[in-house]
Amino acid sequence: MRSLDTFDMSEPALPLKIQVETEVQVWEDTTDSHDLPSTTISTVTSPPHPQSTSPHFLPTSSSRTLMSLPRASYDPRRVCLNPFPEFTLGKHRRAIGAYLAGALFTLANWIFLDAAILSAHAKSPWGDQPDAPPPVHVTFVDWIPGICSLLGYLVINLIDKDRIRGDEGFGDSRAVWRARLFLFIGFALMAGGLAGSVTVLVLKYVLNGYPEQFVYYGYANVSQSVAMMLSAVVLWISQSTSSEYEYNLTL
Amino acid sequence: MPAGLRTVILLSFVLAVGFLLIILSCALWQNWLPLLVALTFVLAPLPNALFSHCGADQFAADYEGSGALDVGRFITSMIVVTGFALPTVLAHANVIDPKACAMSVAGGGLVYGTILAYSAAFSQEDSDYD
Repeated sequence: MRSLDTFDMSEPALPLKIQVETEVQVWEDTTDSHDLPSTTISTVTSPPHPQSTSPHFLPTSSSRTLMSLPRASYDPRRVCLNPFPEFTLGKHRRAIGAYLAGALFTLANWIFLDAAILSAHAKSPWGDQPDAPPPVHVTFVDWIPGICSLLGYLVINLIDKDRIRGDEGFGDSRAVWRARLFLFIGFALMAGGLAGSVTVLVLKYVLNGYPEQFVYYGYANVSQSVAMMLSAVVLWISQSTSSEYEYNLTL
Repeated sequence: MPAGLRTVILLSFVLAVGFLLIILSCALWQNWLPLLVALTFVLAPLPNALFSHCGADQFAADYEGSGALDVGRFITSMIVVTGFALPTVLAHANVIDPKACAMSVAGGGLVYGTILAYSAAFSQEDSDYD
């Protein structure tokens, strides 16, 4: 029993590495047809395989442990019944996530700045009075949802992700509670920014019946909040999947 | 070595064409605001280059687990998108001509692509020597 337990604990990384190495090197030897390296490599790589399988009485046990490797996908700490889907972009997924989040974040702010600059340079939509002032401008009310979203974005990304998960065991159970409270505040700020932008779009632009040229300010406001929320989600997913990857490697 | 030399000459030509496009987009309409695009695209690889040395540990290299690297990528991506968005916004607000916007965006893309290709080729040669 005890040997089986230790075998199950220590085994999952070893035989997989060894098999991959032997396959690659034999393939290279057949292509290169060097006699001396092939013999040395075969004598070097073949012993670890019987060593790893010999103490466990069954030659099929190694294949069984290989087949049972995906048991690591069951995480006993998980909260949701259906875990979040794993994105497999290779080892660059964290970099891709950071780039994509930065692009979305900047795109969000530039969309709103576009509306603000357009409002500062706006002309009247009516042709007969070219000098008449435009009926509406981007004012501070339009900036408030974006500022809320920005604050929420900062709050969400300043939180330590390990505190949220609560698996580090720092001995401070209040820290997890506080981290989750701050996460809630951050998401509430972002959702409030989105709701506020929709409110501004409806109350300030749509209900007053302005021309399409000016309703664009409201649409830009909504898309700013949406893109900033998407950016936060992308950043969160890329970093949390990367930590899971790291956890599986260090196991 | 001749292939590397040819690459360097080709990249320098592309870089010169990119700067030519940006300067033409400014000079043809007597409006020097698109010159900011050249500045942003030259500054774009800087945060990545600065922060890339922060997480370069031999134990952390496998995981890419450094937050400083992410900060560098985030800021680089911000500057790149700014370089594309700034002339678009200026053209949308009728501050610069739409043709000047297209020329400056194309020129900025050429400049940034040159920087990327040059750094990629350079790092590949470095890893070959290691």
